[in-house]
Amino acid sequence: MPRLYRIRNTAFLRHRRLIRSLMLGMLLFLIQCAKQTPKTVLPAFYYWKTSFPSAGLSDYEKNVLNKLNNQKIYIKLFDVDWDETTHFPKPVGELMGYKSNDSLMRTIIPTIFITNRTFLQIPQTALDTLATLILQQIELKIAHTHFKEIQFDCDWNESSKTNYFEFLKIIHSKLNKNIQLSATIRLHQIKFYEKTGVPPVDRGMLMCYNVSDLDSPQSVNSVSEPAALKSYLKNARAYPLALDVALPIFAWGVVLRNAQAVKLIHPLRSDDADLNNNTVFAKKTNYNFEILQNTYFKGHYLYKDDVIRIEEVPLQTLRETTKLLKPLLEKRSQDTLTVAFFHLDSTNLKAYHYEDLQNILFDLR
Amino acid sequence: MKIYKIFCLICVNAILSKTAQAVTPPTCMGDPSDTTRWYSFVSQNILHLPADMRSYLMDTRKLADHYESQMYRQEADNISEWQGRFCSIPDTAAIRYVVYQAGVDELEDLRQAAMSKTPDISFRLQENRFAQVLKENRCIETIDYLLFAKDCERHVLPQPNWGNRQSRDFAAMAALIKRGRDEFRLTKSVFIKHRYAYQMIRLAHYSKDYASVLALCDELMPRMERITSIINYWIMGHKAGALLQMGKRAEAAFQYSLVFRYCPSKRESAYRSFDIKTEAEWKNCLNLCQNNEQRATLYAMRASSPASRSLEDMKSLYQLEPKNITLELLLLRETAKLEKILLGKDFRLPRYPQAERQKAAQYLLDFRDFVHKCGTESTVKTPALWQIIEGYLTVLAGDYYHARVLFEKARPLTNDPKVLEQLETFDMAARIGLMTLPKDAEGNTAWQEIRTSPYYNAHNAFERFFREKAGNLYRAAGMKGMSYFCDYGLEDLALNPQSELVDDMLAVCKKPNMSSFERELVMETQRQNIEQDLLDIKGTDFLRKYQLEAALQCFQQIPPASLKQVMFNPFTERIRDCVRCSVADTLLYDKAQAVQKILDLEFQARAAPDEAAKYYYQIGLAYYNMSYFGHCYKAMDFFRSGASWYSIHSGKDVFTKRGRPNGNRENLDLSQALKYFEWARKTTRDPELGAKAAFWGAKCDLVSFYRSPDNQYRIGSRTIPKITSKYLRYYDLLNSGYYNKTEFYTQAVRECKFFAYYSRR
Repeated sequence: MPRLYRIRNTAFLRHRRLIRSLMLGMLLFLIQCAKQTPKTVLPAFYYWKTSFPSAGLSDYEKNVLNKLNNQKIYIKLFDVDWDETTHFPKPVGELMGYKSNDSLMRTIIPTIFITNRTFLQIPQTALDTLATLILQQIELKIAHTHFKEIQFDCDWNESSKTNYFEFLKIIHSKLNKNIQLSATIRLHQIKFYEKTGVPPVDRGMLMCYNVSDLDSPQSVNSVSEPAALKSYLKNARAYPLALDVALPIFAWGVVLRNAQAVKLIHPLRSDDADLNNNTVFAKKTNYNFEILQNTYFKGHYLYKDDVIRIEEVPLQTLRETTKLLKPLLEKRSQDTLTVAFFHLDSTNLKAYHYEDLQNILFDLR
Repeated sequence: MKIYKIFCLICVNAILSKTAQAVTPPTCMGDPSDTTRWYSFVSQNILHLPADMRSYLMDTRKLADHYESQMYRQEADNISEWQGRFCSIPDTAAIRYVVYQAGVDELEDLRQAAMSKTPDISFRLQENRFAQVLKENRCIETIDYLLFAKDCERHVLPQPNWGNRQSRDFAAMAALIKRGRDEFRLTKSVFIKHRYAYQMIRLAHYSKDYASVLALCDELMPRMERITSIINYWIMGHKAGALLQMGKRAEAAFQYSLVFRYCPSKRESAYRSFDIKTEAEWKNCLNLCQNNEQRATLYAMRASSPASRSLEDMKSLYQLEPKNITLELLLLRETAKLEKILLGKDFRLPRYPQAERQKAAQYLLDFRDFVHKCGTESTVKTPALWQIIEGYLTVLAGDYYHARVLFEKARPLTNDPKVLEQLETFDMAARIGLMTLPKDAEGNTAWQEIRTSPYYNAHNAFERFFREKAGNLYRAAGMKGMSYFCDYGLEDLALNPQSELVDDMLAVCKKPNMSSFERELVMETQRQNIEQDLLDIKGTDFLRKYQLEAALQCFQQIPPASLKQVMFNPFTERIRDCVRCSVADTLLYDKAQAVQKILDLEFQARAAPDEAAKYYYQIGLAYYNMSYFGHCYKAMDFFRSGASWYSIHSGKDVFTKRGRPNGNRENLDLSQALKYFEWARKTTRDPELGAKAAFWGAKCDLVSFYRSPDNQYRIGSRTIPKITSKYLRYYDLLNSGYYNKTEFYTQAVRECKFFAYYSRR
């Protein structure tokens, strides 16, 4: 039995006499509150790479997962994109090397990313075929693995929602009753949910990152900025779907050239030792580095005058994010809350102490 | 007792928190105005390039679109070699059928026929000239190769997109390689030997036996007489792939560069696979080159990345191989990139941040120096093109006069019509850049000459470029209306009228000596200008501001026939608001008549105080009905957006609208209507009229609630808003004993669900 994070109101425990006298009232109060406060916080991770090491996860990764009592991993098996040649969607970016969950020893949730253009292009009559093919492909990728949930990730919009939602309904109808269907919810999709709609799934995974335009040179950190995040969460409280949350722990460098993002270097953090080379990089701010001469860097050819904007999520920002989320989640009537960190990788994990991540989970109880 | 109180408090809190949860703030979706309009005067068609040279320089995302054409190209090139081998006797369709489409049975029949003396070829190949040639000349060696290739084909087919991917049959592939080796040894034709080698190396590659790929290359290639064939480069492509897989990145990149340079049918895939990751790899790759052409190709490939800043690589490329075909493509592409940032930098609205423009300006100077050097040294492929581009870079630098001097010098250097057309296009851009505001007939003629030039009319973007320049000149001269009309039209202005602009344009309309450009901007038809429309906009704006006399003065200058296009009756009562429902009424007013009627009602109210309430009520109705919320909204608004309703809680009355500089103004203000309803209610002794006035007052209060920032009501939801007491004054009044016995009260409760709900509170 895994150790789960349970809500305990210690203040009340200290005053037992008062509780006794308030018992009747509290009974009704707790019935009310039970529907509003998540009781259990389940830590989870996303595995978003395209290859799985033959030796399994590294010792460091395993160690952190164990310390966090992690039992759930959302594992991206493949993407689905529109194929202009066949005029039908096709799987791309398939996870290689992953055979079954033996190497993980954790509950895995197969996750499929589907591009929005797929649902913009696909005729409605082909949705059933697509759903069947995807489910078959999942079976093929993780044969003999029992799973209790499937998640779909799609940046749908008003134009594609009809097809996407219909597709989810078809998937739902094809799944066993004991398998839950979940979908990622991007911030714009929760803010404007009256327009973009609510997907017909059992749970939504609110992705609390990518808050602003990556392309814009004005963006300070497009991954996570509590002030920007706040503006998106106005409607979260009333969102008519059980929600889990995904928090960012990844970092990358956005290469800006002529005021446009032209490359992403990942992983890249501001404390990367290579950035200390003063002949190549001029540090403009803690997170902005200007290129002084044409150079190869982390496999990319960069030009003089390029700017690398490092986008990482400091612990403080993660804490502020949870502070914003907590009151919204408290009011929701759901028993469990999964908090998934995006994404599982030693470089990302090393940027935080596991206790800090534990505290984040604790804060969201 | 105390415990009971706490319990009650907790319960109330719980219930309240639940209630609050059910209420969602309305959404506010901004629609940022986007006036950015991109255009380019640089044409890549001026270079006489094969299609594949252009395609690989395109955005890599578009490269996928060329994939099919590349496949076709490979097939075509191969068929062409087969045709050459057989002295062009069979046509390409016949070769295509035998090489790519014929089945094993047909080829075996063909082999049988070629071996025997009887002339029987299977019926499907009987008419095929290539099959006939193979039979007549007993080309057993060739047919055997084709049969071998057919056997290989099924092992190298792409895997299906969906479903179980069968793992390849490595044993069968190894057996085929062995068979190929034997056939290779026995084959005499160098042409066929090359193809055997290719099939074997390809099989080894698909078997993921990368060491074997290299071993086969080393083993087979020296044993063949060197011939010019695309097959050499196809083999090279597989060798490069194997090297890449084995981690020999520099060697792989070098092989890909050779394929890129010499094999058009594989150019695109070679470009995509070329991947250098470190400085050391780059240096190693350069060291593998045996001549400057090969080195130049490496620089050309690196510079070809869509988002590159290619000047340094272009310099190297120029030093190594000045006539390299890629150099001039890069020249145009780099110019187009600078054009995007700097074109018309002194008069167009900036599209890039200041810092970026400064960087681009510095880069432009360096780039122009390089272009000048290349143009004057004349070692490049098309020196005239470089001189013309130097002129255009000078345009981008904002020195239009000097640019025209450079164009003048370059004009005699070329006879190529495409290059000359490009020169004239650039020169036209410089002429527009040099324009000044016409002060006399001469200036007017200069503008006309530009606009009637065939080069101006050949390029759609010149009209926009011209207007941007003209707009800037008018802005500098303080003619804001003309400046606005250079970029926008009447419809844009009508969305949110700016009196300053309207007055300026009205002055232009009345000018006796309009310039031809001014005439073009203000003429609606051949004979009529936009003066009437402007007066309508101005009058409507006055009406919106409740300046009735001024509005009437404007409307009276418009011919009644024009005003009759918008007819309405704002003095009608409607308990339920319905902005799109037409009124079945024969008594309709145009704007002038409606304003006149309101003025008359005000006069009558002052003249007969006993009857004033009735008149005030009618004026209130008119103001309510002409607002955003009434069915006569067209009286005060040229465009009513339903979307604004969802942002009403912002308190704004101007809403952003894409491409409209001043947004869209909605007439959300009901203060004047409320004032008249209140006067009507206070001055009447008739409870029925009082009830009506109170009811409309309540409607105005409801709008005030919607517009208040603390409004938590979700617009569009089918629930009844929970209004705070501050906005319930009139509802409370209606529910009081004085009004709730009136007939109107009963009717209102019956028809209006909101009111029925509030009356039951």
